[in-house]
Amino acid sequence: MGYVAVTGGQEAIDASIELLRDYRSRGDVPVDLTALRDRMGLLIDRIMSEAGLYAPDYAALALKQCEGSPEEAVFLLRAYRSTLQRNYTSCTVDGSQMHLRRRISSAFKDIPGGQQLGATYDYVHRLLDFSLEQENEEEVQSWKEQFRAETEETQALSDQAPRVLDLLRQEGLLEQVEEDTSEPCDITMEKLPLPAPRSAILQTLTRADTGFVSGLAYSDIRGFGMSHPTIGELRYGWLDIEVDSPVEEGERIYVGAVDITEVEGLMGSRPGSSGIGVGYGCVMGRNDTKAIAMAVLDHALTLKDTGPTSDMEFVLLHGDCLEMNGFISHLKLPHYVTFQSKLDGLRNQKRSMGHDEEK
Amino acid sequence: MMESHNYSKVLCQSSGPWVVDLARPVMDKYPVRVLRKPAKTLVMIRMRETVAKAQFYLGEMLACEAMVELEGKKGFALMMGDDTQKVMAAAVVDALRKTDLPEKEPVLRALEQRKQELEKEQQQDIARHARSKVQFETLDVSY
Repeated sequence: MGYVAVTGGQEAIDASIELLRDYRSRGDVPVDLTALRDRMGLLIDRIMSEAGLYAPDYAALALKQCEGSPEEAVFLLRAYRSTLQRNYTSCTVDGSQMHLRRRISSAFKDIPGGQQLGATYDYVHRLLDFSLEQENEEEVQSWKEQFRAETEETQALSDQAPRVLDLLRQEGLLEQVEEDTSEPCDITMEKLPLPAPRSAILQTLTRADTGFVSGLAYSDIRGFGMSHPTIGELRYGWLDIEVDSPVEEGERIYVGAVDITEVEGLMGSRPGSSGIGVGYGCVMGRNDTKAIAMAVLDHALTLKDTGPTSDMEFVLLHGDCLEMNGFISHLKLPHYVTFQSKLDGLRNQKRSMGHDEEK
Repeated sequence: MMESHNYSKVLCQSSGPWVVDLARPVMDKYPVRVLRKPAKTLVMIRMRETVAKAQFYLGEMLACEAMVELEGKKGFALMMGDDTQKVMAAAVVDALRKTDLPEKEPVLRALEQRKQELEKEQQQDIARHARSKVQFETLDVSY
């Protein structure tokens, strides 16, 4: 398809941008960036994960700038990220090093180290809490102080634990998968190769739109795929990120901590296999649903099935927040020439049909 | 004495003003040569998954870096976020710990104390979360 450029409308565009500012400043209560960052944490996590950039302050700023639109916020972060130089790659981190704040298994009741619910909406009543309408910050702080004071001082608790599925691995009950020792592919630097190597699949899925990943995984479980997952382990916590020191050989430098949700899903045995297949999901921030959905899709992509979730091109090329929203969004922009061309074609066709009938 | 790796962790986990205050006496008294101006950069996070033990890139984190020279010793800091003053001060502290300047010992003591405070805060956080440990029981009822 060819494109024809349009020009003009600069004054109207300027006015539109002024209107945006007017919409963004509705009411008389400013949006506080710190409050947005700290009290809209799940939204901030989602934006960072889909942008592929861990920067809570900037995610809050992006949300403020675009009236809370996730797709615009992701766009802003991706655009900003492209202005920075990436000077470092972290030392390889592993989910087993996670400082755990939540750890559950739906496959095993008793797991070494115990199950810990952490902060979860899984067991709350979904009833609007009207008391929040009149929330008093002093009372909130007083409650928080009391809640924190109630914590018993105990001796050196560990917040790390072995993975649940390691027990099944040791027993040889999991599907044997050949180790992948290849250098990871970076889809932010090169075009996604198809068929994609495992590293590119995981990087694509972890950056994908939460809704897209969840919807596809749901379709897979509902019957358009082959999955019957059981959550072997879902863990949430933070990982310490380090890089090799550029000034002291052999030393590492601590850069910061990144919140992560990681899932190992037990997906059942495939025909001819003697072990249970595992799907892997890992996303930035607190996002159980996306991590589980990623694990479902990770496994589905290894199956030789005709369902949509086993179609690598279908799954990997349509879930990027920026690309999918950008493409849909571009339909709003002037297509006058292409559409007029369609009309011309149709008119010509009708004219020639009428001409034929006259004959 | 704290391992060198842990200095950067304590500095990173402490607030910007605390780190700046720690480095200020040194910065005020001695010439600090800036080898790499404080600037934002990106750190790509490399992870290993569990199925095929493949490495993959989870995403990038926004960070700030700076490199200085103090008394002929190089100091470097790289920290999550965009606090350029904090990263500059941290680079000075990193250089200071390699020197023999008299300011070194009090700074190291302050870092050691801060480390213990941070560990205590972490233990409290672990304990708070440990209260949500759960023991599900299966019932003799099936649906």
